[in-house]
Amino acid sequence: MSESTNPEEAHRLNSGAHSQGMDEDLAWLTSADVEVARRAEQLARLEGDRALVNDLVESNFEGKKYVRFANELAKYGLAVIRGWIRRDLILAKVATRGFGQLEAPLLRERLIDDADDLANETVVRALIVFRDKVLIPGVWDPRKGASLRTFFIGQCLKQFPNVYRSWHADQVRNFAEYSGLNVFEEGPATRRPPEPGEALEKQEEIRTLFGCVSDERVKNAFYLNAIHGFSYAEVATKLDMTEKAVESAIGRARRAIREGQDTA
Amino acid sequence: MNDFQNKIERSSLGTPEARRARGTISSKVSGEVVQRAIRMASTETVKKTSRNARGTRTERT
Repeated sequence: MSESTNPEEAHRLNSGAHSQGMDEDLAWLTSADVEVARRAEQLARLEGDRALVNDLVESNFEGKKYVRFANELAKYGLAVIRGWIRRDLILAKVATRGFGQLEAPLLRERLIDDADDLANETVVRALIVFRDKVLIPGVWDPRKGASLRTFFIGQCLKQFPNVYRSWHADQVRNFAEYSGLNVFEEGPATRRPPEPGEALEKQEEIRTLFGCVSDERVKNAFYLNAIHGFSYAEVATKLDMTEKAVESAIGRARRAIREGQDTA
Repeated sequence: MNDFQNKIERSSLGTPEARRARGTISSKVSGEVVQRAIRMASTETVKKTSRNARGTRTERT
């Protein structure tokens, strides 16, 4: 299924020439007139949303039309959610919409690295619920003023917390697993399965201890080595440090964690 | 299908800012996401149908 927009049109829209041209056209209007024009544009878009949904109703939200619509909706959702994750806005957006306070990530960099995966999973879930629980039962009503795309982003924000919690639990589990091996000990690995009920307590402890490492560079070096198993040489290449500096940074991280543990 | 694409462009997905946002995501990526959603939705439907057929509680999805 190819894009119907021709390359010139796409370039004009992507470069912002369209909105710039519109602003020039509206330059002679007063601010009140501009507001009226914007409102008219908004109403026209809502009418466009309604016509689009009516068309999808006729095809029972199935077939080529639905797939094309879902593709465009997914593109929009992915762009918005990825952007909010990368700009560190997503947790605040979720909280503002009343979908809960999410625990901050252990490492913000890791969240940004995984932005695409988190956004993909969120949009997959949102597409299913949006179709089955919003569009098919007719929950979305253009007369209430929210556009289709705004409604969909709301659904993405509603789905994000579960996706995030699962990702966050994995991060903490990975860290806990490693720490059980050799973060707090020198010498050979001593893996042991956690006792029932110990896991949550351990996760909280690890999160607190990891907060003891304040230097981001040290934290990153330690994280790459500890969680991902990169060698000192590999970490050095990734972080543009010398191997000796990486070794020293990881030693500092271990000391900070150990001291944090002693004072806890 | 062009007529349908025009409808999409006249909707809230067709505003300049929404088009710019959509333009940052490739059709390959969005296509994979949509196909996963369709597959997952049909799996849920099968689960619900078989539960109903067995006369057990319907799982809310």
